[in-house]
Amino acid sequence: MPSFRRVGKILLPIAVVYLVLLFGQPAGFEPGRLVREILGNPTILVQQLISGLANAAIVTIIAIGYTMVYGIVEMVNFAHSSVFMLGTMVALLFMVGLSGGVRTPLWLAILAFIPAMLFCGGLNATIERFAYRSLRKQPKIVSMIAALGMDFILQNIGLQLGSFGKLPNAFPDNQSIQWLTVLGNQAASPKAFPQVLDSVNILEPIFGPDVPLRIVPAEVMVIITAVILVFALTWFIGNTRAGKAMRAVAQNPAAAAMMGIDVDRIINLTYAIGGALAGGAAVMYGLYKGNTSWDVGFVNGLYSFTAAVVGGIGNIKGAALGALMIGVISSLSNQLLTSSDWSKALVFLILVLVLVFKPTGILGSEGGEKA
Amino acid sequence: MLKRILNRGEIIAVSLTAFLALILGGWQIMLVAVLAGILIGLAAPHTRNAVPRAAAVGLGIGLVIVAITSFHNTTLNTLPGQEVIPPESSTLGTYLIALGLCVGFAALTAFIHNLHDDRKRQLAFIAMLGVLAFAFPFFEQCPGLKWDNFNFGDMSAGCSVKSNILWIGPVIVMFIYGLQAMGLNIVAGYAGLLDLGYVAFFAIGAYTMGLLNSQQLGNQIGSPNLFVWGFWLVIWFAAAAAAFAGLMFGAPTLRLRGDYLAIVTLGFGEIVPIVVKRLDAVKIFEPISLFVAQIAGKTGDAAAQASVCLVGCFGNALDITSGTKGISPISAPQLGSLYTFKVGEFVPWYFVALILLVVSAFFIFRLRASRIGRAWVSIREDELAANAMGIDLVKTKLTAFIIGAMFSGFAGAFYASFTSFISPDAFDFSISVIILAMVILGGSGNITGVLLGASIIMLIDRVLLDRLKVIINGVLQGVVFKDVASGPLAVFVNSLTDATAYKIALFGLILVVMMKVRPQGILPEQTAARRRAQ
Repeated sequence: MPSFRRVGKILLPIAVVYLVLLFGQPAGFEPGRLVREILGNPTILVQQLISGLANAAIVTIIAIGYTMVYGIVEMVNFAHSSVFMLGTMVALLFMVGLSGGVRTPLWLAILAFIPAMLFCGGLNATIERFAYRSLRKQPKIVSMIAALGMDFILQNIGLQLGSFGKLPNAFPDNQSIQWLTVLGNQAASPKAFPQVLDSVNILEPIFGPDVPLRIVPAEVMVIITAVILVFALTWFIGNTRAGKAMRAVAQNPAAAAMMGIDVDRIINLTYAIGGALAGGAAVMYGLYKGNTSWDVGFVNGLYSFTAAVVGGIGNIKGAALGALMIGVISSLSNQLLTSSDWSKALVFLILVLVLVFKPTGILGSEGGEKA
Repeated sequence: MLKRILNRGEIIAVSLTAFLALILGGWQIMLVAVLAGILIGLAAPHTRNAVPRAAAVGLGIGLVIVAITSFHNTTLNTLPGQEVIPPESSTLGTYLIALGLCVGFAALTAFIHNLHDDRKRQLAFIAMLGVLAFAFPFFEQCPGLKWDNFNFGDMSAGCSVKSNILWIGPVIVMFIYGLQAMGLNIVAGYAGLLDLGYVAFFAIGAYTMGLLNSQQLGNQIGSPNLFVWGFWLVIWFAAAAAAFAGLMFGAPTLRLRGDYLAIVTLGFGEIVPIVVKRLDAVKIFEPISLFVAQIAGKTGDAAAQASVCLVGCFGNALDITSGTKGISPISAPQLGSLYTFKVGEFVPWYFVALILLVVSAFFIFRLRASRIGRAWVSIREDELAANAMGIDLVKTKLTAFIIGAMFSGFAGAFYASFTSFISPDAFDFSISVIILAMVILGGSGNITGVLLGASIIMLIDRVLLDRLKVIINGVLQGVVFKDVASGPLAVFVNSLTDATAYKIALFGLILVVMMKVRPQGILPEQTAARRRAQ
């Protein structure tokens, strides 16, 4: 029997690989073609690496929101993705509303971080206060269902926000509301962000017009912003009193309470910071992708949660690392597979595989299993 | 004042049915009257004069309903955009019949509710509901609906109302969703596993029916009827396919902790429709030969010729699911050569759905009492203790998952055949949440509660919000904005006050409020611990 088992151990992976090759074909997963394409044009890889980095920057910032909340109350905050989505709407309205029909200047776009982060942080903290706080002592499934319900309420608000795009048409004489046309004719239609940064290749002035790679200013801006936010956050958690209190509550809420820490307030603060980060990510998303709609939360939420899990949930560095992997993989698969829908399926597959084989993630400690 | 006469249950019954009468009005008065009667009977106190009291209260409520209905008919219905009410439904005779129904059902229900023998009471309730369910399609208040005339077109002509508010169609869909809610109840209610992608199994069941009981596949290989195997056979395949998907998906993931499971199932529910959407041009080659050919630098047709073709080889790629266009028409059930079900002839479908629902309810009820059912509940209550008692956690969870998926497969197969058309849009994430809301609202772990939740949610989803939209639009255009009844402002106001557009938020709100106020649901499960506490 042992030899039989050994044969099985070799055959099973081979069979799995063969099946993947067989059923991956409709998605365009043909290793032969992929290898040829990459070898034929190696800059694809570098190019996708760069845009993957920009994607990863956004995913990191959202993922940190998931991972912080999970680290402290061990709950998946389903509403987080919709907070992000509403953040994009707030950023959009702020930028278009204040630029008054002319091209949005860069300083206004940078200023948009303030209302978006305040709004999302406040929203997340409010939700925590009124929807989740009283449920914390109940089984975890209860607060998760409440979070799911909140997610749906916020999604619907985001959808109905689009109805205000019909307002300018109703009052054609009122010039001060004409900018609301940015919300589109249909509630569900995508809403375009104003173009703030030019879509030029910043490598051209340096390497001449024949440079095979392309980096646009928005990518640079997104990456720099993400780095600033992550460093600010790590500084906050590591060096301030509130940050220390957060770590204490994450380790042991009861002991933290005995040391005189107001646990409720600290948890609320965690939600607020997580939400504010989602707001920051929302502005980055708007500037980089150029549009938003009521359902952007779902995909980005799935990507970010996967990133958090891949890196080891509850771990901020892990979230960044996971986001890097997810960002690069998704932009590579966007390029090489037959449809971007398959990228979603691929990321989801990664999520399942990581959860099944290494639930603690890459950087997760034993604490991850507790979490 | 009102509190001194009526008890709390009766006040709820009064306000609920008054609201329904206001929204539905017109030809729906009989249904509202029966509902009001049953609610009053259930709310009657356990005293000796319960039956006369219920009858008296029923009379009062009946009068309220009649008054509100006539208000609806005479005032609300004159607003723009309302449905025309058939003249038969606002006559004195109709009102008297409704009054009688209300009083009668109040007295009957109160009498049954006060039976002392538990078993007798249950049997009497089931008998009453059975008679109601059986009689329902024949008494639906629509003048065109006669014994000899089930034709859809005739029916709506006879009714001279929009066909979408005919009750029987929504009720059949309600049965389908009730079946799914009972299946999810096994997973979420009994075993305590939060499954947010339950719609995936519904989709798998529906697409199994769509593929094996339509000409979708057969047309492409030249013999159209090769894959038309008949409803009665394919429904079992559909259930088996869904159960198998449950096995394949559950086996690796059920080891995960509850919150991870929720995320993974959520992703699963999202991915299945995506995959279905993209399977509209499938060509599959033998991978090794393809790999060799492509490494050698061949692309496109050259690579295809150099490798061994397995699927989609007859010229064109195989169109399995038709992508977003969906599969249609899907064949309907046949009763031998006697009778073939038709789209729009609702009554036969109604009875098939009813039988499916009742048999499943009985099956699940017995399953809950069996060894495996008790194992599910013990896992939900305390995993560690259950494990210590020798229950195999993964295996038991997996059974719950598989059996839950199986019922969703039945529901999906029936749904596909009933609508005769399926597309990936019909299986989006919101359906998983709607089904979850049914389970949570009604009372997870309790079949009666879950079915109650399914009826309430479907009533809101399919009937109430549509009616509310029409009425609100009517009030706005006929009373508030008389001058700007049309034009861009009306478009804006209408889209902002469109009740159906807030459906998702409403279900989300139900989830949040139930979790905060009554997490066990309207009709909580009678667990051993709770029974002891009483």
